[in-house]
Amino acid sequence: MRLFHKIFLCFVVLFSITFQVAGFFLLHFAFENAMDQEEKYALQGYQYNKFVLQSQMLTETTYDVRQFSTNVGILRMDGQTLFQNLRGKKQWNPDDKDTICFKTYESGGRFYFYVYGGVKQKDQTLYLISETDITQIVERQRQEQAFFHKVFLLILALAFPIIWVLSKCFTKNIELVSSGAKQIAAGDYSQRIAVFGKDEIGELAENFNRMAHTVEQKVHELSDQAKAKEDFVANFAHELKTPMTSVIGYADMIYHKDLPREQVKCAAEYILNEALRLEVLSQKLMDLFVLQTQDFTFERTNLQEFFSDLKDILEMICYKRGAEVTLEIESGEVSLDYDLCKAMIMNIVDNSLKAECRSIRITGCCQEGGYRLCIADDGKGIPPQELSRVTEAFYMVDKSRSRKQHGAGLGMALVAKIAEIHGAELELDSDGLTGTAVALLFKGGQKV
Amino acid sequence: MRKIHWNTIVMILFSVVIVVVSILGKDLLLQQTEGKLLNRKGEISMEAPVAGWQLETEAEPEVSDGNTNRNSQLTIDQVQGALNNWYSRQYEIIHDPVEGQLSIEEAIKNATDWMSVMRGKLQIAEEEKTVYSVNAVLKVGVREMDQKEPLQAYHSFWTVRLAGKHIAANLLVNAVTGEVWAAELVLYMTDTLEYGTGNAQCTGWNEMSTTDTSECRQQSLFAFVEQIGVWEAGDKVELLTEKDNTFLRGENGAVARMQCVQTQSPDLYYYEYNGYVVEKAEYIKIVYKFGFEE
Repeated sequence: MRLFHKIFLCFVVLFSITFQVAGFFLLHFAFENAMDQEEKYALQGYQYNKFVLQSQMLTETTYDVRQFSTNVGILRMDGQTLFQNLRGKKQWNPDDKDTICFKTYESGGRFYFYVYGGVKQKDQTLYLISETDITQIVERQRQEQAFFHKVFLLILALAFPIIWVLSKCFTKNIELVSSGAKQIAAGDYSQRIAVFGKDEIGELAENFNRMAHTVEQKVHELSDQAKAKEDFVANFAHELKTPMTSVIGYADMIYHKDLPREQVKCAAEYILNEALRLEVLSQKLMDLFVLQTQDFTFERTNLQEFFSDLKDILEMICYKRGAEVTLEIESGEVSLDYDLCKAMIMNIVDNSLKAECRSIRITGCCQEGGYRLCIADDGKGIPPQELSRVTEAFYMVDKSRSRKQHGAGLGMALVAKIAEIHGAELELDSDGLTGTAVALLFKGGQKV
Repeated sequence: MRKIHWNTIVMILFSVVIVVVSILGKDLLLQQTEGKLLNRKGEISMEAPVAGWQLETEAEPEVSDGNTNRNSQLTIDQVQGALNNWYSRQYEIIHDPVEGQLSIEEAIKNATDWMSVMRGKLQIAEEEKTVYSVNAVLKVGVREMDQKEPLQAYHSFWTVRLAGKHIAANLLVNAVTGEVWAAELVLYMTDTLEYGTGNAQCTGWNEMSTTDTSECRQQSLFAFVEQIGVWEAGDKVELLTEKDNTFLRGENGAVARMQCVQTQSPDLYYYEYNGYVVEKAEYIKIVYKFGFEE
């Protein structure tokens, strides 16, 4: 049975029981009240008739029916009827002259209320029966009962559709939530529940929508991650296959053919270069995996001191490649892992050198929000549309140039990972013509 | 048909069953309680709504003209209280006499005695003395039907109705003192007469001049007051006449009024107790009323 049915039934049960119980008490109270009232009037009538009878006994006049306020019966104590105009119970047997009694009696579908007792006057005692017709009260009770039924059925006829509509209204939102949940369960994570109102069901729908949104996001994230992994594996396989093809090809050539010394040397050089590339690839991959699994210890380090240690190495590397490096580092402390940060700087500088730059300018200063380190070169630059992809593993802007320089497309991926570990923001800026600027904003950096 | 539709049909049927059962249940309960109420029987103890009355003085009541005069029993305040209670009543409760109250015989005797005195004063013809019907009922006036605190015995009144061939009277007799504090007389005129012309047969006024008729009425008012005994000898009493009304006003604020009007529609009891239905008949209605100025 559905919730709608249950609500409807509850309404009907409560409504019917409440109405009938209230009706019972109302009708019963009214009837009881009317009977009590009638009893009082009957007693007063008896008293009146008693005085009339006493007056007539005193004056010894004949019993005048017009004097009595109700129908009466006048009997001797031996049971002989002196006068009576009773309509209901006609046979009476005077038993106790000292007490006044009452009783109700039904005769021919009519109801009577009798008050009877002995009446003494002078030396004579008579038995007086006073009759009050209460049929009207019983009939009125029946009429009220019938009227109550009509009112109840009328109200019920009006209330049934109202209860129906109300039950539908109450369960409509629940049905919406249910159907929305069903669609989401079927895999349609973009489905949202349109529920109006701020009641509990509205809140439930809102929370359900929020949950669906989170699930959808998570699903997208997971599918992106899965895709990234697929891409990574594909790229890795490709990057592995390319040098291996060269190595196998040249090795095969040396093995099967008797080549002159010069050609053998040339083939060996190819094999050596490709092997070096593979070494770099494996080393960087190793670094990337290590970065994802290892815990690091951060220390507050003054970047001015950090770069003064690094300056000689940087100048030497740049010198070898015909470039020069300038450092303008303000004193400032940041939390960093020395080796990781060094690897990050070396990777950025290596990328700049691979872009055939002539000068590299490294600046560092404290600013609002932390310490900003910027490494700018005047190399070939990166096309702006590719800036967002250079941090992807195995992504290379110029593949042929990169391979020639033993690039594996993992340098910037490593930089991005190290920046993430340090909680630093990485920004890349280039117009694709006049060099690239890589900026790192270390949050929490302070001037010393 | 889908399961939900079956459920809906079952639910509607179930609702109808609930409705019918609730109606039948209520009717059954009502029938049972109604049956109990309609089969009631038992004894009734009639509790008087007034308390018994003990005479405070040991003195014997004065007796004058054969009338049991108990006017010394009540103070003016008590008389005023009893009259105020009676005139402002919402309901009347009929009850048996309690200690200190007149019996029905005494009440009827006082009423017939009073009538004898007044007949003389009003010069009602001898043949009108015959009384065919007497009816005396003891009542007390109350504001609520369920009177909780019992009233004093002097709050009760015997209403004595006397009816003869050409006269009907309704007298208000105090249940303790036996004094008639208010009365209404209806005199049936055998011929259609103009009131005040002095030819009303039953009163003998037809033989009197207008001045004498007026004198006669005043005398009857004095007689009415005298029987109550509210004013003592030497008290200043003022006599006023206004249209059909004649007033006697005393220093203590007590007022007695007599109204005498000719009418074609007196109270019905005249018909009820005499059984005569006379079309286009003329009546003289005389009202005596005793009270206090507000």
